[in-house]
Amino acid sequence: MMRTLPEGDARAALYYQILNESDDPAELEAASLWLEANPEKLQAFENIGHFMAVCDHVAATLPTQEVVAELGEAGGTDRRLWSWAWRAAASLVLVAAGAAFFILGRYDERTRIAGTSATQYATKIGEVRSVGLADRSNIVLSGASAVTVTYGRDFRRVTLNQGQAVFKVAHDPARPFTVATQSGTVRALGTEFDVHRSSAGTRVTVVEGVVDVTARSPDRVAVARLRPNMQIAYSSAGEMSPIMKVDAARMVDWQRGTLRFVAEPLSAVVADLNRFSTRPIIVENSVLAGEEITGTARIDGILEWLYALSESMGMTIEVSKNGAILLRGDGRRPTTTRIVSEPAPRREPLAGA
Amino acid sequence: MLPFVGRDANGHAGAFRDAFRANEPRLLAFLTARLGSRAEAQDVCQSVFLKLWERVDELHGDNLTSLLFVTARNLATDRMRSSGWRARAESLDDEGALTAQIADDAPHAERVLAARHELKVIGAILQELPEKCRTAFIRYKFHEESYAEIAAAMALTESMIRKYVLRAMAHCAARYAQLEGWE
Repeated sequence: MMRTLPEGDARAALYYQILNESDDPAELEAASLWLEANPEKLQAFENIGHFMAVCDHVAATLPTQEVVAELGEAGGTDRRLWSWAWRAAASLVLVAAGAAFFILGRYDERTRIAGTSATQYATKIGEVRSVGLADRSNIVLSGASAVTVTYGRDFRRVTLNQGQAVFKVAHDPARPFTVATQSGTVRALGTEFDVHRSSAGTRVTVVEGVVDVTARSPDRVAVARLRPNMQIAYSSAGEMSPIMKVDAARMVDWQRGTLRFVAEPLSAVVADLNRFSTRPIIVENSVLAGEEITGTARIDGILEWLYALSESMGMTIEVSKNGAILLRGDGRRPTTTRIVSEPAPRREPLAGA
Repeated sequence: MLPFVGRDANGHAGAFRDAFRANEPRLLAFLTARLGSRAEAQDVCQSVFLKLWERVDELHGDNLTSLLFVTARNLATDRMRSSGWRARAESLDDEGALTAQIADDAPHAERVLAARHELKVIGAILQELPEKCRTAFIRYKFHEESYAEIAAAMALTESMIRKYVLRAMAHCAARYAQLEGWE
């Protein structure tokens, strides 16, 4: 007894292929227009992207021989003898595999959220908001940030979808509290810590208690245990940094309107400022974007701070017609760390601590 | 408030911004499918804007749609490999900052196990396809052969191979999503 198979959408597949492979402007134009004109096909389109990514992941993780052995050397005939057994057993195998995915955590955010009731909290640019949760844990969301909270009988799961937040976790050994970002997880029982997500990766700072950070890359799983005043970062691809010693109290100062930067590239600084600035700030020059900045900005005085910054680093500031703040520099100066306004805390390596 | 130097009316930059906004929903849809996460897609989308904005004055006359999608595709690939972070971690290392990293170099059994399960699912779904269609897709996706190579090996036309690959993608993606939904 076979289930009815879903039709599939070859057109969605075609346009997915074009957008991934074609260099022909006309084809790309047609494909992208189709995408816009057919929102009801978006699910089929996403499913195709998802399936192809799963194939890529399998090919990257397992030895080629194993993949070939499982799928059959270019569809060898002996596989067909299996076919009937497969068809008969398919649903059982697949249900088991599905359960294994669940246990192993190998499913994406979308699936995870679909299965359970989840609550989303988000802040606008410039808004800092405190969210009290049912177990008396508390999340302070920074500007333009978003979390999804899913509580179950034996877990407390939060996904930091974007931005930054400080988590004060009520102690409950029976229900670990986890915060997931791109490629890693932060796990705590009862503690206070800050998680900052950007396009490059995620930074975790512990204020109180102990948290375990796990980052997953295609090659390996890295685990680090952080205690107060320790910080670690992992990239969106799951590469983990060394543990750094920081003054955690200052790292969570954004809750009181102060943003601190320690040797951050200007592009990252601007990404943070943009979560608070009512006018978008744009770095117009890639040399400038890489300049390392150390300093402290008040969220109610971002423009003034940028001006102070511009004077110390040969950068000019202009406001475009539509109100965007444009940062320009000629890249004449060598890339060095610049101290602005006050000496900010240095990140010290943990060695010898 | 400190005085600002106003920027001259720059129609060029403005036009680019408008065109980008118009294309943004499609770009996001594409990147969401490619990266599997809307938040990631938004990050990359923003990077596409900044990257092109940096050279907005040179873009005159180029086909913006293809520029946007080719840039997005490249950045998405970079994102998946993300060598940028590795370089940054190594530079910290040079300063002697590398210390208490606890890394598990053992062959991440959990991931391998999960990938094996995925492989089994893919295998089972592929079995539902006609043999030529399945063979074409496996060669294309897992042996990384070109359409032309597959066509030659299977003594079929290239356009037939393309059709097989598309059919396999459409069927498998729908089935995979259906099975995942069972969770």
